[in-house]
Amino acid sequence: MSIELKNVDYIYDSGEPFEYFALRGISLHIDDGAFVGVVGRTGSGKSTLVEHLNGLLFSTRGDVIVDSDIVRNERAVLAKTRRRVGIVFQYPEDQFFAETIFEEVAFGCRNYGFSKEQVEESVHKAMNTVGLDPERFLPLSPFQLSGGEQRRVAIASVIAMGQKYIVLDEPTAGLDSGSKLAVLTELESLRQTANVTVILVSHNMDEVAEFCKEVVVLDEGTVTFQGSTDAFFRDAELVERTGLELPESYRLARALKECGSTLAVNEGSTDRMLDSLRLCVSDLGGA
Amino acid sequence: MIRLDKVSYQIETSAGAVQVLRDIDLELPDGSISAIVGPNGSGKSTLARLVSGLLRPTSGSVRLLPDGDNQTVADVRPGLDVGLVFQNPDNQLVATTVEDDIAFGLENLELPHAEMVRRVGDVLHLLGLEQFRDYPPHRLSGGQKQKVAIAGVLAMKPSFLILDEATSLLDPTNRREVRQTVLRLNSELGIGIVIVTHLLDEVLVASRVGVLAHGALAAWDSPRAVFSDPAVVELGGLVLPLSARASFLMRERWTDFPLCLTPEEFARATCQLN
Ligand SMILES: Nc1ncnc2c1ncn2[C@@H]1O[C@H](COP(=O)(O)OP(=O)(O)O)[C@@H](O)[C@H]1O
Ligand SMILES: Nc1ncnc2c1ncn2[C@@H]1O[C@H](COP(=O)(O)OP(=O)(O)O)[C@@H](O)[C@H]1O
Ligand SMILES: [Mg+2]
Ligand SMILES: [Mg+2]
Repeated sequence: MSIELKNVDYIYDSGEPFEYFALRGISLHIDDGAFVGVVGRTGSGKSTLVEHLNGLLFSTRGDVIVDSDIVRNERAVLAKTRRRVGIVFQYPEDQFFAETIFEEVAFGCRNYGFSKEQVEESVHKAMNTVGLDPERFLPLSPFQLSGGEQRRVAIASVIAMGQKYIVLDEPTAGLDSGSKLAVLTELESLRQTANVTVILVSHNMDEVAEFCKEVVVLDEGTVTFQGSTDAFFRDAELVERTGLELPESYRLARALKECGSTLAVNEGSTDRMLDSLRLCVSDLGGA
Repeated sequence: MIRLDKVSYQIETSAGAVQVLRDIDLELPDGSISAIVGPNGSGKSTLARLVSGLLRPTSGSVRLLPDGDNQTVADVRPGLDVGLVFQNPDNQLVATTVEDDIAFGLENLELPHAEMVRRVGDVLHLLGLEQFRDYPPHRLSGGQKQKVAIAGVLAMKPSFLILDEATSLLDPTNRREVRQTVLRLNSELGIGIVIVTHLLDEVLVASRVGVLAHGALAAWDSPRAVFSDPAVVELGGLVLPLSARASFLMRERWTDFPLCLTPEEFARATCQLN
């Protein structure tokens, strides 16, 4: 099972004088259980792309295939697709409507016909996953919260539905560093324990290097790179050309090389980098 | 400078009173760059609104006083003394062209027409937005929109500019552009800057960092001092930069290895060992 895009084009306002070619010839394959980053400058087509994955937008040409079903604007297919793919939109808090956080988070579960007990359980679990104390927060109005708290409620309301593909469109923009790390770590553990596939749209290259094994890089509606995150960040010129920046570990390795240090460290995740540094230091210690 | 004396802020909710900020003492010197950090919900935006005069403290005072003069104190006039820029540029732009948007705040000042035109022209020039004068704001990139929002605030000629997570929705290129613009406003015009942020790059440009935790000021110190104290880092919802964690690791062998906050500093310190 997987998500696949075959030669997808998307044109906004197709046929109108102001039509806009937002995606061109996108082909992609996302395996079950992957943690994939989608990166690229503002306007490169990231949101347009991910909105195809659960049938919010339909390709102008080409196919979007989720678990071997082609996503089409037909009731049965759409219901199946949305049961499989959940999306946390960009600035999701703009769409809050319920009087309490409980109602906000429970909404999707109710739509899928969860029993009363299942709703209760899913809502509590999802709140814990995003680090909000259910006892304290569930009775409050979502409109009372600070921006970062609202973002976490929005993430909880998608996680609660238990879909196997979770797409998050810039979910950490505006979160404090501690919550950012906590939310992504929880998503990683959902991936490991429940084999959830995570598709993360992000402008934060440090979190992409830390959590995503693969990346899809978009530039003006086309895929300019798809493959291992490490291979992408090793190509500093491509990173620059696509309007992005190097994660700290890659900048650190490069700065060490440039000043001729004998410390050779591994880029990538924080642990990988610090482990290699620890080894270097103890080697030097022996000398 | 702007001086906060024992500032507290309380809101009434259906569940009773909530103390959002408690006994905040702060001095923001003219022309200085400060950062405010803290976990989501710690009170940063509330503090930003208090400093800019949009909210009044429940107790304590927020006052403007000329540097070196403790006699002439005044209340902060929102917009005029302190301009505030928010996170989402789409919620701040109201008019149909960039020019009208920048003029919008000025309309209320009852300035002579010529003065208004001059001010709009000045800020367009200052922020490099001249070519977009007649553009509809929605056709601009996120970074450009945020610069238009900054321009609108600057046209009021405030002596301080507060950016409340103003770059957090931007991509890396736009973020860098806005940051450089703000630093230039500080160095060229002497505008005092307060940056509310979660981003390390933005904390590091400040000479002082205020760390808010549960509505109280847990620290008010240099970035290096803040990152040297694990308790403050934790309270502030911060994460140590990788370079700092690498520095601590180096200290296990070289006990006087400095605390480095950027890769470049770390590389330099490392090469001085050899
Ligand atoms: N509803 C729309 N109508 C017309 N053009 C749009 C619409 N939404 C997005 N676009 C355009 O499509 C391009 C890609 O947008 P988007 O997918 O939102 O990019 P990203 O998420 O990478 O910032 C942009 O140039 C944007 O202006
Ligand atoms: N109008 C309000 N009603 C209820 N609670 C509020 C209101 N405004 C702010 N708060 C609460 O005050 C705290 C601080 O909010 P805020 O200043 O926005 O924090 P920050 O900007 O650091 O995320 C939060 O816990 C928030 O929920
Ligand atoms: Mg987007
Ligand atoms: Mg805030």
